[in-house]
Amino acid sequence: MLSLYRVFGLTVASELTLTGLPAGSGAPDITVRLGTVPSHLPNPRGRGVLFEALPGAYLLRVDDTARFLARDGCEVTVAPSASADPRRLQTLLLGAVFTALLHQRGSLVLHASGLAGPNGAVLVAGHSGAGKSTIAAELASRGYEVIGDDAAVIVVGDGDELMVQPGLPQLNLWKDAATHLGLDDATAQVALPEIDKYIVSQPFAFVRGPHRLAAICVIELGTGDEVVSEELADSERFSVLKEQTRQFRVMNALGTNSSHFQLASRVAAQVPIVRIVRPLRHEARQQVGDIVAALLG
Amino acid sequence: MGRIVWLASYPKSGNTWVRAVLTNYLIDGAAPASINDLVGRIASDRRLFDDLTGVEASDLTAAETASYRAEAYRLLAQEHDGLLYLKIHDATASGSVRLIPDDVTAAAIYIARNPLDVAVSLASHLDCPIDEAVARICDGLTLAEPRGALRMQIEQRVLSWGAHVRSWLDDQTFPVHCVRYEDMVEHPHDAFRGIVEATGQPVDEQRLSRAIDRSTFRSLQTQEESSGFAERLSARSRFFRSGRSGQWQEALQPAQVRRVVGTHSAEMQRFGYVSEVR
Amino acid sequence: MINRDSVVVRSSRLMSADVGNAVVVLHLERSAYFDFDATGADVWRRLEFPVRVSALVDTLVGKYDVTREICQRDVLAFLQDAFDQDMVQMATDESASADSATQGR
Repeated sequence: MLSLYRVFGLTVASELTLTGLPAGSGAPDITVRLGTVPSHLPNPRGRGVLFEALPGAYLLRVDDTARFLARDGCEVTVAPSASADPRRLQTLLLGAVFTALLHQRGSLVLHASGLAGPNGAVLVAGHSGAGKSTIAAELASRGYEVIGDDAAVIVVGDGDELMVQPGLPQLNLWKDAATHLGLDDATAQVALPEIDKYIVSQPFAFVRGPHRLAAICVIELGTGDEVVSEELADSERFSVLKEQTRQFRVMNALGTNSSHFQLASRVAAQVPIVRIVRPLRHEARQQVGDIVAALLG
Repeated sequence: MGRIVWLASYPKSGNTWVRAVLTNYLIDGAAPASINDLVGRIASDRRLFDDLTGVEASDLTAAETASYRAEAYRLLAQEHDGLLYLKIHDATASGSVRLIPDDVTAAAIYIARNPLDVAVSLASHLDCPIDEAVARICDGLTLAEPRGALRMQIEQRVLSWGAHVRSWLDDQTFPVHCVRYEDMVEHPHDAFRGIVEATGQPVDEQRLSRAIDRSTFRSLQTQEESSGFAERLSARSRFFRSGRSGQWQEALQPAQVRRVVGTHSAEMQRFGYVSEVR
Repeated sequence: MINRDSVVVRSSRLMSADVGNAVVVLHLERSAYFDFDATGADVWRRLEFPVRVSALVDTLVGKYDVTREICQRDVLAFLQDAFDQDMVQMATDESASADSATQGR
């Protein structure tokens, strides 16, 4: 029994029930079925603790939850274990597995949240703990539409423009950030048991379609007391995008370096990239938010 | 196929200093190595884990994260040529889960410092009262615990000072070379020579002298002032405070001293710290 | 060994892209990334088509404030290093001794 959903600009037909995604229609781009998945790939080109990959195939094994096999950018087979938590299945599927699929499809997938404003889409990138989601929530509270949290998908649109696709319509907030926004267990859904993370969709507005990529911000932690921002020098732009690519090791093992290079170098050449350095101890929501808001227009 | 040399220590015991000397020894360049480019990346670095695992630690429970760490380090070693230095504050196991992949470990360098001095330094580093630092050293310390927010590093179960010593020194399949911070201060050349030898490299005495000179407290502190030091937890406390040993005598109350010595007398004796307390 | 009479060109197993004044390069087979900025980028751009080293040096001496000796020494070192990393290869086309000026780069 397949249900249709829409995410990342793709129509997904899935045997697994997915929550919180808008309904899709038409011919599916991605099909997710339940089935058997091998424990290993033959001769993987690369691997990590939980995955193996080679051109056209990505295998993810998370004990107690599931094995996933993603093929050719369009098919996923899921073999859940008996005790699999459905929230965990969804997080892994739409997270690690879809990142691999998107790499296979030649998209640029960045570790970034995205907001949309009059100037277009502005991405807020950074390593885990830098504060992307917090800043996204700050801007969402100011009325900007949210494109996604934690994963930003960049493609070349029909008009040969760089576009950001709509991601999952939710923000992943840790307890402090959720509390700061006045959210609690009643309004925010716990992401996973034992993890202090919440999935929040109210009261924010989420985009429905792709937006033209206007700028990228990268949040870094610094040892000073001030918030400092500067545009990146030409020589840093590509390497920062490479660093902010989600699951770079996976992309490497899939052998899609050339499409990644083409798109990332184009983004590096054409899109303003701003480094925002914030103090270690203080998330500086207001100030960092102001810098991003100025780019959003 | 590389092998790991663990630079293991309780926090505030001189680990960074050892990293600085090792880096300067290995590079032996015209200028001192930058404080942000030292060998010995911290094993609890979140990005390191996320990259090697393929699933972000923030989507995993603490128990799951711990269970994947040994394999992550094994992969890292397999893709490295030669010796791979990793800094680590964790005890060797988190609960019953071993964090250290023995099969790809060459050795551990265990850097010990008098826990009385560690307490003083830790209070400054964590920006907490000395009583709290003493309590953590005696009851058990956890670093980067996610309390309401995601931390830049993965949670590290450091345990009490004594339990940490036992976890690293007892019954290892790989050689563990112990060095005392106090010996690094009093007899640096001998202390650091022992460290370099323990990594299996031949020691060039002059090269070692140069490396030690480039890693003095003054030079590390100056670098921290001008370029900041990426590992610092709090912008208000400086990482390299004074580097002296014996500062506990001015900073600790008798009750605090009694508590630390009472809890850890056996391990303190192993390192010759007990006879110094009167 | 690369010398001043060698005709060199970028390896065919590369992708190269301009990012402002910098150049980024991906070696496809090795999945290795490189980047150049300023002078390095300028030299790299001139290696898109086969060029004789002596002609390359001529052009650079004309453009930059450097003696021929130093320029040739640095260019040869750069090219040898690039050759050893399979970034640059010897062109078999001897007739491609065109100086960089006619390439319009």
